[in-house]
This record gives sequence, structure tokens and C-alpha cells, in this order.
Amino acid sequence: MGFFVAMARNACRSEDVEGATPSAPAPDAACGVCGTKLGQILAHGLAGCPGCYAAFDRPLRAALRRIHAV
Amino acid sequence: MEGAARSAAAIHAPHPGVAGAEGVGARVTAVAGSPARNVPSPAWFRSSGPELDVVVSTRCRYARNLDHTPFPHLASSASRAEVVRLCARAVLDVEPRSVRFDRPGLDADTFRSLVLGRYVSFRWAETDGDGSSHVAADGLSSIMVNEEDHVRVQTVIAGFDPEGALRPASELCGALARRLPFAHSPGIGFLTASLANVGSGMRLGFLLHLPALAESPTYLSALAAAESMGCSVRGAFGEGTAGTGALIQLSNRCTYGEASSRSAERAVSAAYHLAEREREARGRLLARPSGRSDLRAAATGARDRLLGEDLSPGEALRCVSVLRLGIGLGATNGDLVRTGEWLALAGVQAWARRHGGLAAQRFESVRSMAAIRADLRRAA
Repeated sequence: MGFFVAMARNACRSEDVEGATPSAPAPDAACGVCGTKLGQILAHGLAGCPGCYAAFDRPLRAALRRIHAV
Repeated sequence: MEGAARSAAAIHAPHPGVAGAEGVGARVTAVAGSPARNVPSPAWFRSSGPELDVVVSTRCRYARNLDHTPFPHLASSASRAEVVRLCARAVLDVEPRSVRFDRPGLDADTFRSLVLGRYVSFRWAETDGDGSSHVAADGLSSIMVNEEDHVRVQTVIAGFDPEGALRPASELCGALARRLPFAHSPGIGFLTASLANVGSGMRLGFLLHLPALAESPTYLSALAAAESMGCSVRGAFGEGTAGTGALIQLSNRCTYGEASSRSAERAVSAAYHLAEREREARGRLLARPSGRSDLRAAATGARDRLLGEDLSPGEALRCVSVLRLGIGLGATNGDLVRTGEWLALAGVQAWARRHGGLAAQRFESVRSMAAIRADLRRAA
């Protein structure tokens, strides 16, 4: 039980703090489909194509939680 | 709701100049003569609805995009044209009697009629390039192609009628989903251009007329309360117009991370809250010693000004607002249903005046005041 609670806490931390995980993409990382950069999406709140959501899954989910306050 | 959606009911009567009937991929631009006459009359212009004195209309829209396709702001001309073609084919299946308008080549009158009926947004109307609008012949539902998203499905209905707006929009969107590959992620929901629409892509909104509350010291706190319930509140005709004509658009803010039914409940609760505060304010207004006679005088004055003066769009909107309040409270004669179109006429022109540019060219020359005057004279 305690193991799962700790794992959930760590998961939340790694998603909510940008750059907290080694796999977190840099702001200038680009979507392989349309070329839109993660930094542009986060700055303007506008993705370039559906593929952006797969390319930047974790940072965009964190952004979505902030935008929609859930 | 959408997942179990049934086929959209084909209940629409035949309409002259039905563009969709020309076939898949046919480019239907301006129809010869006066194409604006082919824009179906908006359902919310001609029908009554619950709480109509305070709630002008209820709108539900779904934002959807085609998978593996750049969103419209990044799409090439060929990609946008392909989206138009695919959507036209799907709409022809789902709403065979809908009227299709292709954006390139539309004349100002048609743009104006589409915007007035809220079949298309200001943004769609002032964007160039491939795009289309499909309007159901009964004027209840419409589909906008290549605005911020590839597909925007919406229903607008008179008064406070969330179910009456949600069901047809959901069914129409569900029917399209069986014919178009909408972009969807199991963990996220429907994928949209703006992060603000991701998830359900659903917005349930209400156009509220709050003239008495707007004069009350509790106005701002009432709006803040609605926002704290998870809703967005803004002017009816774009940013910064909250005070013009006391018209407010309220809609759910959240589309991600909660069921769309919960988001809809938030909007319904907040709209109900504001409508109640407006009714209380109207009650206080009429409870004054000369409340009713003052309102009658104000409404009569507003009608006289609309009939006799060349008003600015903002002033016309304020006069329509006062006249509508007078009609709603029985202080003067008039048809409350007709006032919805007057609000749209004055509001769209006010927006165009403020906005300038291409939009102004398309809307500045409209004959809004003449249309309102003609209607007022007919009703006299």
C-alpha cells in the first residue's frame, strides 16, 4: 500500500515540475509530424497537429491539468 | 452521451438553393442573385424558449479534428481543401438537406447572415482560405469547417434549454464521428488546436441579458461567483463588450479531466445563478415607487430613438437592451422573440465597428438599423 502511495506521489512530482525527469523534452524539441516546438505550444496554448499530443505527452498533460484546474 | 449518439434525425424540410445536393466535392460558392436568402432562418430568432426574458439563447458546440492532419492554422492550402472535401462528404450523409456555404467567394450579405445567426464565428468570417459552413435547413444546428479546429458542430436554441441544445449537437457530432476519423487519445480525449478545448471539446454556453443586475452594486460579485463555479464570463460580442447592452456569454471553462455532463452542470448552475440574481434586481427595480412608469418611459424612449435617430452601433445595442427589458417586464408592448435578432443586428455591427479591417469591410455596410426599424414598424 505504502509503495503505491509513494509511487503516485513521485509520478505527480515528475509531471508537475518541468524538466524534473530525464525524459522530459526541452522547450525547443519539435513535433516529428508538424515541427511545432514544445515551447511554442506552451507559450501560445496552441498545438500544431494531433501528433503534438503524442510527442509531448507528459508536459502537455501537466499543462492541461493547470489550464483546466483539475 | 455522444458515444451512444443516434443518427442525426433527418427532419429538415427541403430548402431552395440546397448546396449540399450538388454532390461530394462540389464547390458551392455564392448562389446567383442574393445568396443571403439561402441562409436558413436561425431557430433562435423565431422561437420562444424557457426563461427567454433573461436567457436569450443556449448554445452547445463540439470541437473536433481529423487525425493525422495539421490543425487549420498550420495546414497547407491543399490540406485545408481536403478537410473541406472530407467534411462535405460526411455532412452529405448525415444532414443531406443542409445548406453548404464555401468561404471563398461568399458575398458580404451571406457572411453577415451567417454571423448574425451564429452559424459561424467572427473568426471564421474574417479568415481567408478554404473553409465551409453547413447549416441545417431548420436553422438549429450548423457545422463550421476550418476555423480554429477542423470541425465545430453546434446548436443554438432560444431561451434556457440546455437539453435542447446538447442533444442535437451531441447526436450530430456522434453521427459525424462514425464517418470521419476524429483525433482522439484514450488518456486525454479529443485533440484540439487549443489546449483550452482538449478533452470533451464541449462548450455549453448561455447568452444572458442582465440589464437590471448590471445596474446593481452586486453585479461584479455575481459574475465572480459564476466564474468561481468553473465558468467563463465575457461580453456577448467579444472581449471587452461585457458592459454593452448588458449581454453576457457564460460557458463551462473545463473540458479536460471531468465528464462533459459535469462541465455542463457547472454552466447550467452558473447561468441559473445569474438569472436568479437578475430577477431579484428586476424585482427591486419594479418595487420602486415609480419603477414601472420609469421603465415604460425608458423603453418608449429607446423605441423612439431606434426608429428616429441614426445611432451608433453601441448606442443601438443599449436601446435594444432597454426596450427588451421593457417588453420582458410588460412595461411596453412588443414581441420578446424578435428582440434576439435585434440584439444580434446591433451587436454584430458594434463588433465590426470596433474590430476594423476585413471584418469591418464585410459588416460595416450592413443595414442593421434599417432592419430593426422595419421590424419595429411592422410590430407597431
